[in-house]
Amino acid sequence: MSALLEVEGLHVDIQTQAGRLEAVRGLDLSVAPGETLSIVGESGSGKSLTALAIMGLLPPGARRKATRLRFEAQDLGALSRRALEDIRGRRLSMIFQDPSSALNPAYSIGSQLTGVYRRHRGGTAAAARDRAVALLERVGITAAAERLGQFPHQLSGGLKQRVMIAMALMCSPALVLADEPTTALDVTIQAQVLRLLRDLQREMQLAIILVTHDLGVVAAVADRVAVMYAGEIVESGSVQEIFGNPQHPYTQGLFACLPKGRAGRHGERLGTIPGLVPSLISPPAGCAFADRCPLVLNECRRAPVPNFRLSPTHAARCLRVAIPSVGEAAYV
Amino acid sequence: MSELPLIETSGLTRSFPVGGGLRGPKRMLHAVRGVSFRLSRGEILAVVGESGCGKSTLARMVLGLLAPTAGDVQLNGEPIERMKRLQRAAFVQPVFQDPYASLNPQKRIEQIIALPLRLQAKVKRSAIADRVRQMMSLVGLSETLASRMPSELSGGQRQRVAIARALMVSPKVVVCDEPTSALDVSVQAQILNLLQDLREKMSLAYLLISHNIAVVEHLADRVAVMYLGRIVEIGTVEEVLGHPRHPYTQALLASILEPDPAKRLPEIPLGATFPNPLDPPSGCAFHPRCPRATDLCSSDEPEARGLPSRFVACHHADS
Repeated sequence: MSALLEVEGLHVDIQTQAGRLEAVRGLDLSVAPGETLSIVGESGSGKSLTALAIMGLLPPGARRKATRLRFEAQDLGALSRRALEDIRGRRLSMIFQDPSSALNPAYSIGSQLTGVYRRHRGGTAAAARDRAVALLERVGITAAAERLGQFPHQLSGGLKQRVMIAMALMCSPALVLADEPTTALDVTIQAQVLRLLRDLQREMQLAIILVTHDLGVVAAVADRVAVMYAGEIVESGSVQEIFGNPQHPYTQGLFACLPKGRAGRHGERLGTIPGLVPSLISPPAGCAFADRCPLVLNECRRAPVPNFRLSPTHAARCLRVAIPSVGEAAYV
Repeated sequence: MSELPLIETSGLTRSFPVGGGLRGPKRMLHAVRGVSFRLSRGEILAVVGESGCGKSTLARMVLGLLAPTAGDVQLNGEPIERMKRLQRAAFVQPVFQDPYASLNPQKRIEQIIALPLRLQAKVKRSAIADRVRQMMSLVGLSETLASRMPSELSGGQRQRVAIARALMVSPKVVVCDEPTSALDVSVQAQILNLLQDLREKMSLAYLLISHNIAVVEHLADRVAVMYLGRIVEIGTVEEVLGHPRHPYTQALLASILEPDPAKRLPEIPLGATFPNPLDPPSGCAFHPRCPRATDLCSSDEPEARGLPSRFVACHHADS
């Protein structure tokens, strides 16, 4: 199947007072129609900037470079601003983490929903309104017609998040980038919103890039997973490969950190990843995880570590994968 | 002889007047309604619930930062309102959620940590400085950070500062309000390990406020589940998380997404509409979302049934 989105050699640099910060460093990824790719990582790993770079919505001071950035056979990097605006909201849309700041407080829900539709599809106000009501109902909002006149401050967080999902889907996009779409929600609501997103995905043949730090969310909805650390994808694979057979010491460390069951009460301690993420202003020449890695080799620090393929879908950026004799990671 | 509980609350209630502008009369928001529990020496009691359930309001009342509208809090058998501020502070100390907001950005780390002890009268400067160094090493902060400012520290280091500060006066109880929610998982693990070590070394009791069930299960001895201002179920971790009896506790546990792709998305038989706390449902506050609700539930508020240490407030609880 041909890819819907292809990204190769993506770099995002941010100009800071201390120098140029290399927030995303040579990232490759692709998304097929209808699939969910989850980008996982901790704060500062570059996962949100990756999503914003694909959307062309980087904040001022951040610069994007890519050798390839193709979406539906168009080069996103070469498009004029106007051509890009024709794609954004129509074929490519985004769900943000915090619906309170992503919705405009000065406009009603209805005008924000119909605005995006009429901008791209034209048509009558009544048609746009029908579409808005239909989608609000689809995302589980009752009394949808009355809600159109309400303003964001009149809605709870869970409702606002549903409104934003509806807005992202107004024009039936091919790809939605969702940045921590359920992090601000309560757990009982989170499962419902994710279920809704998955049902809509099946209905609309929607591809989703889900950016999150929550491994529970990833396990529940992702088809494929990319683990980011210090601006790079350090491991990628199917959700079964990443959870069942993690190969990069950082991925293994993340799993060891998760509290599970009653172990703590019986005196057990959680695994930890010692040390800190390196500064990405002049990042290390070799593996960025080397200083925190329990299995570090001298070679790890010398040169950039290539991505080693473990299966047609599974790859890890770790020398240990290529030198199996070194043994298993020391995480428990 | 039974020891006095470190914290005992009975019928603790707090309401806030809301509104009262041009849009009509003032209304009462009942954030916490009739909450009773005990925290014993060396114990970790977790309070779980979703946003708006009143768990942080409860924490603030136990810390003496907020006066209850009704009911009372006793610390070691003494009513909290009769205690002096410093006496209270020497007994119970807080660790808050956001270590970016809870540390004064204009003070050096050593000044921040020293403050609770400096306020307690008649402690020599040199003794305070010694104690600061001792606490910093106890929580795993390098001494070189003493003269730094909070802005120079990572999130995990800041939370260690907040914990060191809380321990300066050797409190019996630390109230941890979402202590790891603002942190990455790898940092969260370090802080959870630290809380566990400190509990053993200093025989501390924690009131742990959290929405993260995995954290609670890992750390706590007992759990209280709150919904719209009330404790709906309480018991040991084994009882409440292993054999939940209240339909809300069951739904909460079913909603947890485990890091296991074989489990995928759970099906939760639960209405999505969270009630408006200004206009709480009649009878049992949970009934509009509850799969087991009957007419009785919409008319009568269920009493807590069972022992003070293990009860369920539901007309149709599992036995």
